[in-house]
Amino acid sequence: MNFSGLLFLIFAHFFAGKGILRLFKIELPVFQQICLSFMIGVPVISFAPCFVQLMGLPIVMNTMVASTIITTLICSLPLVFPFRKPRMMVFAMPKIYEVPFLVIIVCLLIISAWRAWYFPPTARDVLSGPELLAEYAVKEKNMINSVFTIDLRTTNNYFKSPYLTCLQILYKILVCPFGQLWLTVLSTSFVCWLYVVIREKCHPLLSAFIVFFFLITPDVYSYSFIILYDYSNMVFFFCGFYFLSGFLTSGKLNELLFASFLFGLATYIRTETLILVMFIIPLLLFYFYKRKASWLDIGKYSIILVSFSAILYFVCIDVFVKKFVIIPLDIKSQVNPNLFDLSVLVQRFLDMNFALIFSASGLGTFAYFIYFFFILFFVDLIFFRKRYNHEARIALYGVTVIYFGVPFLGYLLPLFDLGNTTKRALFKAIPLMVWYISNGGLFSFLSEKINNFELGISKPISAVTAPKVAVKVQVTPRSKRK
Amino acid sequence: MFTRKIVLLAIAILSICFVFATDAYHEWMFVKILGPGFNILDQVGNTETEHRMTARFGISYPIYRNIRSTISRMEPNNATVLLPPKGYLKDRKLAVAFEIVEPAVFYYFTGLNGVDVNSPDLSRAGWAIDVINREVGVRKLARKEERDSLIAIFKKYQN
Repeated sequence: MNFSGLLFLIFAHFFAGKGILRLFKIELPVFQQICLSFMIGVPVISFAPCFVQLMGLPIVMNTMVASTIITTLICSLPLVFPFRKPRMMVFAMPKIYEVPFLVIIVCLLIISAWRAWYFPPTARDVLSGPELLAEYAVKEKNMINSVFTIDLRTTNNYFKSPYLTCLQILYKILVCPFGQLWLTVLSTSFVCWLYVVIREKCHPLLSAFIVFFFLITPDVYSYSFIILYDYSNMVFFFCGFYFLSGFLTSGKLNELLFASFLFGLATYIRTETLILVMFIIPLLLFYFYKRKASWLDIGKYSIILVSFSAILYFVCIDVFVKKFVIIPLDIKSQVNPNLFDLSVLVQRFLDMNFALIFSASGLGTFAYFIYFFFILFFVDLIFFRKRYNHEARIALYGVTVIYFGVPFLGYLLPLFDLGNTTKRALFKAIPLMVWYISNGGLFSFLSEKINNFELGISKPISAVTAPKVAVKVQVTPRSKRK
Repeated sequence: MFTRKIVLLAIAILSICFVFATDAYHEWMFVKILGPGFNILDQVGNTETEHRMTARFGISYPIYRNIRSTISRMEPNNATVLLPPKGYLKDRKLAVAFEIVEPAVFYYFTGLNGVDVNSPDLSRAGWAIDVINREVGVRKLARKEERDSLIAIFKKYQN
């Protein structure tokens, strides 16, 4: 393994991501900034081989290094402009009772990293698509290579986003023959970031427990070392929701733009995410309609929300796929020709519930995580409805988008099968469930109780409950419109 | 206050034990994650690329590599290999756990063009993967009749 190559790419991810954060003027505590920079840097650096290919240069070590440096420098440009110093909140040291959870989390992350390095790419969708293309791109120094001369009738995976192919090319040339370690950078940063943001919401004991519980969700963990699109898609879809929630709380437009950018990255990774992003628009409509915002503002925010997803969808399908895949892509042939037959939609919804989630195979995929979520949801609904905070409602909306949106995708796109694509698309709901649980009524109540117990206070304090912040978005009331 | 922290520590340990005592998590952790497949000491001593490929894809991978070296030796350029259907291999009761792959993955493993019985390029097949005495082998399809008769047999087993 080439450690200097790995170090080079890690720095590239970090500085590219940090530059993007600065571009959107996102102010975060230092540790969160570091984690998010790594996460964002992964898909951003994946554009580097695309640029090399678009310019007609060979895919070799020199061009990969140069394009990575140039991409990083361009993304880092905002770093040279003066910026308000971020909150230098020092990461609170873990308490003794978090240690058992942290030990297991760290061990699982190490095992994940080891497996990502040791074993070659495994998933069939990768071997017959991005990994095959990446392997021959490295051998033949071109992304348009001999793979397109072989019999490809049994697969359509070469039509997918170049995200995975490009990262594999970079890591194969600069780090190790199987690539894959970019997934470790992404998954480790995500778990650390998730832990930190949840720790801000509930008691450390509960936050450690819920992140541990998230990490041991069997299939989600497996895809932290088996390269495929869905883990990355889950990460950026969740981050989009997190910052959208921030926008709806603070009203800062840069947070909406950043959320839109993150949804855009999720769409770049899996293009059908564009449809799920459109399902988020009703949340904005409802939210601003209740606050008597003008239709113009509502329209403006909705367009901003989907703008990056639409742009990156166009870039992915109409530029990258068109230029890098010499076989023409007929999107129409991939759409269900009989959209008026809603029985397919109902059947897919039922199958998703009874063959996938609440079934023996669901136990192997998600273990008890989804059951745990539903139990807490009903407990919250019955006993703690008044403790629902703003973030909990938005997270719940996100879970609903996935719960109804994923079967809709299955109905719209017949290739979106139940056992593989639908199952992995449901991953997106898991961190949203984590976010809901940590903001939900029961956890807020337990946080308060544990805090009081720990400090030996008999009189309850509500310092750990989430603040109720009013929306400060500047909107024109509908009544004042002409 | 320290005693209270210890109580919380005990709760943390108990909750971990409780989670891993449940069937789903116990099986996942101790069979899939830390089970026999996770032998890190053995893996640290065997880090060659080919060994790791075999560790992941099983006996099929070295067989594909042998197929590649055999065919490349005899026909270095543009060899096309006819791939049998899964049912055919199952019916021939192979002595090893060999798994046939689709043409794209075959190209990834071997760098050779593969065609299955539904391929429009069947006429290009000059070689075939076949079962000889319950072992996987390659056959040269020198004559058109030989190729057509094998395709006819394979078509009976197509999925």
